[in-house]
Amino acid sequence: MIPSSFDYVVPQSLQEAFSILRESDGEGKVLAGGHSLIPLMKLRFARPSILVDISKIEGLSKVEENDDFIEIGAMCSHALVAYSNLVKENSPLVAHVAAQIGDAAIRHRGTIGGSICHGDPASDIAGALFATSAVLVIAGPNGKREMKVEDFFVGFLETALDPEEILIGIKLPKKLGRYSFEKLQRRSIDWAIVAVALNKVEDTLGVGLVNLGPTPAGFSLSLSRSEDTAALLEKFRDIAAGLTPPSDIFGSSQYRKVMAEVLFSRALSNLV
Amino acid sequence: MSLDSKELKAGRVEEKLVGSSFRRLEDPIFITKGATYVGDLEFDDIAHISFVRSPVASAKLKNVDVSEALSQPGVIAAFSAKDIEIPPITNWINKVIERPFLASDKLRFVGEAVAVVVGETKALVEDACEFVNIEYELTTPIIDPKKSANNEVSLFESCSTNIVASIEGGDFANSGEVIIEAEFSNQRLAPCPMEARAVVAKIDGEMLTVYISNQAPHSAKRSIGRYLSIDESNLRVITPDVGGGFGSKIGTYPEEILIPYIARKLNRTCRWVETRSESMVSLGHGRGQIAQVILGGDRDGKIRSYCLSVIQDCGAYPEIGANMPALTRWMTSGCYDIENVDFKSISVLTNTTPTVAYRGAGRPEAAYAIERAVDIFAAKIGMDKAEVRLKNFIDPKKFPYETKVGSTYDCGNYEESLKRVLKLANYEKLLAEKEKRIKEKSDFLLGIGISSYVEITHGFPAKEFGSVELIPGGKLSVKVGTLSHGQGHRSAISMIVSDITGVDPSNIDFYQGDTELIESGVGTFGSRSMQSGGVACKRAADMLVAYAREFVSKNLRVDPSEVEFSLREGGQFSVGSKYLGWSEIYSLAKNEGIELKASENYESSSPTFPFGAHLAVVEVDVKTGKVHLKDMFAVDDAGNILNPMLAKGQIHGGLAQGISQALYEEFIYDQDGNPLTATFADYGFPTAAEFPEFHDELMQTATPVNELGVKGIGESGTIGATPSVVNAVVDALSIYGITHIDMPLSPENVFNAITIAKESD
Repeated sequence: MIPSSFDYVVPQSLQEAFSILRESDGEGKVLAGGHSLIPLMKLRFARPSILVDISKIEGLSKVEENDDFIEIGAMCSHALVAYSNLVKENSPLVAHVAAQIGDAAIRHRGTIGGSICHGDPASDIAGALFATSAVLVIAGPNGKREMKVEDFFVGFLETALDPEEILIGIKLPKKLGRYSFEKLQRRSIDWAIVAVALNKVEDTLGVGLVNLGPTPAGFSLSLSRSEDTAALLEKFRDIAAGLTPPSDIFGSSQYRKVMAEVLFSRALSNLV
Repeated sequence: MSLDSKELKAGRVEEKLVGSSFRRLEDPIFITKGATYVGDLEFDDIAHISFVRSPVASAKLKNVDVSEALSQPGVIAAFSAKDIEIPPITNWINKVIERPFLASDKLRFVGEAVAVVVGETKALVEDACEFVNIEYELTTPIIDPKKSANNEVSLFESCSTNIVASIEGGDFANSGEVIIEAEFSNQRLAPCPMEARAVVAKIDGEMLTVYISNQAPHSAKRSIGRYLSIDESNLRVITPDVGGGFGSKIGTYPEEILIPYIARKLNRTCRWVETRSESMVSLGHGRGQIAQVILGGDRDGKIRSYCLSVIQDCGAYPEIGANMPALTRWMTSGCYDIENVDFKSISVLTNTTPTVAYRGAGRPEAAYAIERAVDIFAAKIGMDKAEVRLKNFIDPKKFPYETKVGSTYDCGNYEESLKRVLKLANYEKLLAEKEKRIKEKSDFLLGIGISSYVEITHGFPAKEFGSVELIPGGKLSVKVGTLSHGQGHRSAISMIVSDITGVDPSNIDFYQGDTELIESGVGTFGSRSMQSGGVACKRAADMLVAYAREFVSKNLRVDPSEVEFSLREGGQFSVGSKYLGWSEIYSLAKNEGIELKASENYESSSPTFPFGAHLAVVEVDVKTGKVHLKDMFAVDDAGNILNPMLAKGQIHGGLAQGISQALYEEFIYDQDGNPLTATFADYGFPTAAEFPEFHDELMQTATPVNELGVKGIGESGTIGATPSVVNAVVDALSIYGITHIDMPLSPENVFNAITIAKESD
């Protein structure tokens, strides 16, 4: 419950952060809200030699609007995302999901960027980003790059970020449709046993899956005019058959698969 | 809940405080400054201690090497079993079993203390702990208590059997037209007090002062004194604010005796503050009982026979948990008048954290078994669950009532408490709503669960100390041997004393938890405090008034009968037109060298038996198995109520813990004995968001056992709530033919029960 010793620095700019990360030789770790990282450090499962606190770097804690998209700064807390009018108006699913993460204390401290970079398949917000076809903005010593959310998660708690890179923002398309989020959990503050996020825009149904495999996941279905709910359920069932959800004290893999279908079906009928 | 708090104005006390929701005297400082726990105490030049604990459940311990840890920065000392020169603890339940202070030849559970590291800061000590090298050879662990009872592998070489305690059954035969048999598990729980364990041992020449987070400071003093061979006059034990215990801090743990041992050895003040991860595996666990029941009854609803057989999981060493079946036994037949009752039990060792008392301690297990069994019986004969209970309750006219297992219930009215809770919950309307949802084929079925409970408080009547002394300014100093660790004893006892002496509670200094100030004490557990320490303080206050009357009569040279005493003006004595207040009496007495002080060691003649009825309303999502507790109704009777707000606080906390056992909590081990729920992310400790608003009513049937008419209220909520919630879930799912689901009623457990029931349909 007490972390092993580490250094702590608070860079004022991205460039400064990159050079600290480079010097740390892979032993450094970026600190955002700390709600995933600090518990791992306290249990001594993670032992970074240096924590690079990016909270003082300008521009990472705001939501901005552009022509076709909004961009959420990686250091925005879940609470900020949940209550931001820009997010609510342009990507209501993301705001709706952010409002259901953990409890109020967690939402005010935990960040959207931190949650994504942790790469936990149980991340609610990652599911929402899949459903909304988000694009991640990544900065590194050699400049910025953008990546679709589906390319970001490469393995269990493993992302496509290079050790010297920092996720700085999340771009969400300004496309309004209907959405829903169904989450099954034990206690109100627990991780989802399973959750399903849906975002229906025109003839595309974006689907985000929470805790249904080694990484956050999702996919899109194109909806033809004639398609009914039963056919959609059938399509989902085919996809669900290929999922490999974890087994733990909250639910077996098989239970999670069955629940995915139940929640998908409920999410379909609860689209708002 | 409304607070009809009475404002205290100078010179009031026409009205009695007892019975009012007088606001807690403890709270202003808790809210403004915060509590002072052992970890908050400041000392110069203190050394910090951490324990290295067993990573495995069962192994032969070959070697413990602390030398590398000793060379780490900031390390002062390190110890393994061979450095500890005190003999192991001989177990009081089973004399052939010894518990070493640090594991010596075997590792018996994950979390068992193996080595100690002492250093200049907690962080450095934690780092150094990683350099203690434990060499061991894995052996086969026993995790399942049923398997342990087979004795294929013994946990202790000195003991050929893993059964460390047992209670034999009597002559018993089932009777009744319908016999039901069932097995219910009361899963293992982690007590999770807000403040984990903490000890400071302060050395001052020959004098040792131990600050400890414990429910029974005087017995901690006895344990420490005995094991460390310290003369009573050189040992003082102080409990500052204690952040909860729930029974887990009644005893003194090996670690807690080692801290003063090490402090003396190093001649330096030492502190150990347990981390939460450590607490989850080494603070004693609760429950861990398997119950096999056979209930027989007639089709008219009359219960004829009931037999309860219990397997108690003791964990790796027999502690208080091994004795829990004795408490379960007392409450075997619950609220019911049954002609034929039997109980038997075995307590077995497993390679898990030892079990201890946990809120309710043996009685929740008894209530759960019979309340579940009665529901199954009611369903079997097709009778309403409330009706079956009403048919079998002990007649209120029969009290005191001796049960077939030999408990003598002091007083009760089970019928009234059940009728009141049914009315409070609008039972008929709920039944209609339940039927409606079934007809609509809703995914969210309604379940209504009833439980009628009776429990035993102050189960082991023991003398308790209370004293009241007149001090300068006419204030009072009140001392008591019980130990509030959240309950609000300062408020309750000040109310009692104020009502007798007229002294405003703000002028009452309250002392507890210091063996130097309080000459004797038993502590707080088993809901005993008001019926022991409370009565002692009441008697001491009565005596003080009598002494003062006598003093006044001598002083004014009149017969004591001519001295009037009134509660007015903060308490005053009068003879004719001459008035004397407490302050003047103090001065006059002091001038004559007289101390006005009364103390009482009160021993209650017998335990008391609080009772009540709880009703839970749940909504079960049949597609996912998720249970939503919609409403909770509780009618509780703990005799006279000193302060309804404090009583309700106890009930609410109890309900929360009882509900949480039903729905969320379970301490889980894998088959190798690795704990899977050792953090709050995994262990289902509830938050406020898990509970609906509680609808509660207090019933007050005064007990004849003590002059305050009070019983204990600390554990009732926990005892009644658990079966009511499980009964509600099973009620909702009865349309599938489900008769029982083991706790916790997690989504997957409920879903699996539905799936199996549908398949076998």
